[in-house]
Amino acid sequence: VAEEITLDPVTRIEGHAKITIRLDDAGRVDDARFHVTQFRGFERIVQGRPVHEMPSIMARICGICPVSHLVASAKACDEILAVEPPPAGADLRRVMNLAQVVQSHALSFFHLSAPDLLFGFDADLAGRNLLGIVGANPQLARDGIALRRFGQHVIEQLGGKRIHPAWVVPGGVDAPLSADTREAILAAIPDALDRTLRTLDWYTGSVERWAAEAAVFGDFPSAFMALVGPDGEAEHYDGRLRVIDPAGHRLADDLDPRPYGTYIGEAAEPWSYLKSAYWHELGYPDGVYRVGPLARINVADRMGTPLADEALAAFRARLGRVPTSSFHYHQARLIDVLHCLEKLTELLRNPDILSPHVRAYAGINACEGVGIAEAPRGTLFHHYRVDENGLVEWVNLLIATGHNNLAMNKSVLEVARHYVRGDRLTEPMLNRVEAVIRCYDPCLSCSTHAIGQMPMHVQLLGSTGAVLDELHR
Amino acid sequence: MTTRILTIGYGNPLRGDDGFGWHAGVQLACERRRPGCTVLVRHQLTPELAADVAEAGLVVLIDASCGGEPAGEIVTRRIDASPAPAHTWSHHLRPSALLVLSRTLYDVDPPMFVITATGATFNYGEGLSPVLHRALPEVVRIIRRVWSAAEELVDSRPAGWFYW
Repeated sequence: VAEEITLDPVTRIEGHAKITIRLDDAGRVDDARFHVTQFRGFERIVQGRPVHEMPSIMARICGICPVSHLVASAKACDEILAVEPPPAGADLRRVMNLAQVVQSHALSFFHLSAPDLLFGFDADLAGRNLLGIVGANPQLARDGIALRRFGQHVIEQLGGKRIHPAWVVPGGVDAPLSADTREAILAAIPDALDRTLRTLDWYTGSVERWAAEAAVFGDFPSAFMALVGPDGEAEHYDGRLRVIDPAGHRLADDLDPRPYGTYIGEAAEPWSYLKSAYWHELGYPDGVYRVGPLARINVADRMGTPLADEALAAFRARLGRVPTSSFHYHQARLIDVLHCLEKLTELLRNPDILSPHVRAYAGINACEGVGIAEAPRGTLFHHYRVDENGLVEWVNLLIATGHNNLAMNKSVLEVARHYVRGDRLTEPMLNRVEAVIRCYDPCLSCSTHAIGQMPMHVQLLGSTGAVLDELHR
Repeated sequence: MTTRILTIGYGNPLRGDDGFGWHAGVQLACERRRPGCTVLVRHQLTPELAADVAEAGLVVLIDASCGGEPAGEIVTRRIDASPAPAHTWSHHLRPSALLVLSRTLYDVDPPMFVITATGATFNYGEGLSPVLHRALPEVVRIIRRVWSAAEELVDSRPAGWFYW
C-alpha cells in the first residue's frame, strides 16, 4: 500500500512549512512536496495606497531582508516617477543592500546551517544549534555574531534603524552619507573580511566530511538566474539579467526585467501558498531554475573583486564551472559575503559617495514600474501598476524563494528517495530533508508574506493518503 | 574596567503591552544621557547583543511580563548566567542565555537586571493598556535612578559604534 510521510513544521528556516512524502505501493518514495502553509497577501494589502508609500510598506514583508524589498520597491517607483537617482543615491542604495546581504548570510550560515556542518546531521538535536557552536567552536560563533552585527550596524547608521529603515525612497535615498559614518564603516571592514576568510577556511577544510550529503542535496541539472554587471561580474543592485544552463551556456542574457512575464511563468498549486516560478521556454514543471548565492556565482563570469575572485577560483577548481548541488549554497554564501565586503570598500572609497545630491524628485509620469535587485536569497522583482494619481492598483512580487520553489521540491524528493526506507520516519532522513531546504535559506515571510520562524512537520503518507507516520519539531 | 551602562528596552509594539520595554526604551533613548549610558531599543533579544553586553559594566533590560503578578506591577530581578534550555533558537534569546553567550564568548558577564511590568493585554494593536501606560513613567524613573546611582562607574569616553 502506498504511503505518505509529513514533516511539519520544518525548523531553522524563516517561516512556516511542512513536508509530505508519498510512498508508492511498493513502499518506495513516489513524490515529496514542500508545503508553505502561511499566507499574508501584501499584494492585496497595498492596493489603493499612494505609490510613494510603497518602499516603506513593502519593507515590512520581512525582518531579515527588508532592505532588498526597499530597493526593489524604490526602483519600481523610480520607473513610475520616470526618474534616475543621482549617482550617490544609487551607490548608497547599493551600500545598504550589500550590508544587508552580509547580515542575512551571517544569520543563515552561522545561526541556521553551521550547527549541522559543525556537529553533523545526525548529532543530538539538543546541542545542534547556535548555543552548541558557542561551546564547541566559540571563534565560529564570535565570527557569526560579529558579521551579522557589522551588517546591521551599517544599515542602522545609514537608515536610522537596523530593521525596516525608511531611508531608501523613490528617486534615491532620504539623506546623504556623513564622512564620519563612512570612516566608521570603512574602519570595520578589515575585521569583517578577516572573519569571513577564517570561516571560509574552516568550511573548505571540513566540507569533505559531507561529500555524501553534497551528492544528494539537490544535485540535479537546472538553470541558474542572476544579475550580472557590464563585464559579466557579480552584481547585486542593477545590471543585466542572465540565465545559464547546467553546462554554463547562456539560455538568455541581457534580459530586460520589465517583460519578465514573457520568460518567467508563475504557477500556483492548491497545496502551497508559495508560487512556483519556472523558465517559460522549458514549461511547467520542467523549467526549474535556481537563484541566490549559488546562482550568482555560477552565472557570473567572475566576482569582480580580488579576494572573492580568489575564493571563486578555488571553488571552481574543486567543483567545476557550474556546481549543481544545492549543498554548495553554503560556500557560495561565504564567497558572496566576501564580495559584498570588498564592494562596500570600493563604493565607500569613492569620494562622490559623500555627495549631498542623493535624491531626484518627480510626480507620477508612468503608470507601471518594475524594480529588480539581488536579495540575499536571490533575484527579487517588484511590479506595480498605479492610476493617474499614483494610487496602487495592482502589484506582483516575484521573490527569491518562489524562484527556488521547484528546485526545493525537487531537492526534498531527491533526499527522501535516498534516505527514506520503509514506512517509518527516521532521524537521519528528517535531519537531511530539513537541511536540504536550509541550503536555499528560504524566506517564507518574504515569499508568501508571513511572520515568524519555521517549525517542522513531516508526514509519511500511503498511496491512499493515510498518514503512516508523522513528526513535529 | 568597562564601565558603560547598557539599557535594552525590548518588545513588540504591535502586540499591545508586549511593547512596554520598547516604548520605555524609545523614551529613554530620546533623553539626554551621560556619555557611557547606551540605550538600545529592540523587538527581541538576539545573539548579536552578546557583544554589546560584553562591553558593558552594568546591563538593565526592560520587558513586559505576562503572568504571575497583577497587571501593572513592576518587578526587578537579577539575571543569572544559567545555561539556556536546549532549543533551536536562532533569532531570539532569554536574558539568561544572552548572559551565557557573553560569558562564554567574551569571558565577561556583567551584572544584569531585568525590570518587568506585568501586562494586561498582548493582542494585536499599537499602544499600551491604561495600566501599563501609567507604569511607564515609573519604570523610566527607575532607570534614571540606576543611571544616576551608577554614575561613578560611568566612563566618560564615548564608545565607538563599531565596538567588537
